[in-house]
Amino acid sequence: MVLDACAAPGGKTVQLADLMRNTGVIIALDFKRRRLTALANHLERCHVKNTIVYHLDARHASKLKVRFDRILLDVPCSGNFVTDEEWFSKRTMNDVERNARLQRAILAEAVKTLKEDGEIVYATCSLEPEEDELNIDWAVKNLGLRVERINCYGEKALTEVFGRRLDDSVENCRRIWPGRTQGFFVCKLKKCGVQDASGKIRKQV
Amino acid sequence: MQVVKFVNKFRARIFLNEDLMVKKENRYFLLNKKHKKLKGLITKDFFYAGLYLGKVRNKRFFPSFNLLKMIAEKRSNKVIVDKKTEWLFICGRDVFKRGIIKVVGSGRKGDYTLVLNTHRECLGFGRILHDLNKMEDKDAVAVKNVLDIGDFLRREKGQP
Ligand SMILES: C[S@@+](CC[C@H](N)C(=O)[O-])C[C@H]1O[C@@H](n2cnc3c(N)ncnc32)[C@H](O)[C@@H]1O
Repeated sequence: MVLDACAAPGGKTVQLADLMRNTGVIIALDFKRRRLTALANHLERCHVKNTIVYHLDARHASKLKVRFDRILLDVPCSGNFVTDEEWFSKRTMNDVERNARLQRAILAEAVKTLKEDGEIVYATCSLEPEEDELNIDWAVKNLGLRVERINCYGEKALTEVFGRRLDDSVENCRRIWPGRTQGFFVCKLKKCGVQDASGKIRKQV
Repeated sequence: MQVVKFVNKFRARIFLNEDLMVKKENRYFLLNKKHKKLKGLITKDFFYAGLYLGKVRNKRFFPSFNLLKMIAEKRSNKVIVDKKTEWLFICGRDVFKRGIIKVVGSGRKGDYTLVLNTHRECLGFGRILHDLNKMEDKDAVAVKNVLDIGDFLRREKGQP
């Protein structure tokens, strides 16, 4: 069972289905109904048959009452200047902060729906530390997650941001500077704690 | 059942497990067995599930390209067309007799036929305008385009 929590227009949903050889189940969510049509067209065009799509806010994913083996969080983000010439004039720090907050809320909800031995892939196309390293540092410290090493090109992520020292494991994330691609941030997260009934995380030793 | 009726137009036989078929408003979907096990999930308000088969609008059935592919994989009416005709067809044009390389199944006037390229990929379907086996004028339209895969581009045109 795989959750693609921010799925539209579906490029990665199709890739997941391909990796799964169109078997198993993918649950794909998106918050914007208009974008679901593009997702549906993509699924039809690529003959995907293992996916169920819901018009649902990823912050309410636990309503589905399903526990997932894998979760992809290709979260909404501020993007970067490579794909948008006017990026600098269109964005303010408030936008970045708002996105970072939304991303943390999506991450926290995803952890609730993840099986104990499950894995989350978190990705953005933003280069802002608030949406990348700082969020992952927060997740490590608050959601009982650890950052796994991944075999992916890109550079080690930052472990010191704005004078703050982050958890060492954050360097396992990959920061892909614009060049070969438009610029990305990606990491793989696993649970290393157990959630008690109140939602608090107890670290496993 | 609209889906089955549509399949019959191509003189094809495909097995569609009705237990695995779900209808959401005017759209039909075919689930896999794993989906079916997640019963609760499917009854929730999904937007898309499993393999999309097609939709009904104004009492007419509009097939998905998944369904056309399923029909094309079975014995059914089909014409195989050359490269130039393939390109014109996916741009919405009709099929001229000259462009048809092979006719499989019925080539009778009035019947429906799938249109395939030389790789046996289904490009869409159309209605036969003249008996294909008797038709002599190579420059006349033989199959009228009803639906082609260029529709994927056209249907999103104008949408942001
Ligand atoms: C970076 S895009 C995803 C791209 C997609 N994964 C792909 O590969 O095609 C982020 C998506 O998140 C959706 N989104 C924004 N807020 C959301 C929320 N609260 N819950 C679910 N989806 C959301 C947006 O509508 C957008 O489609």
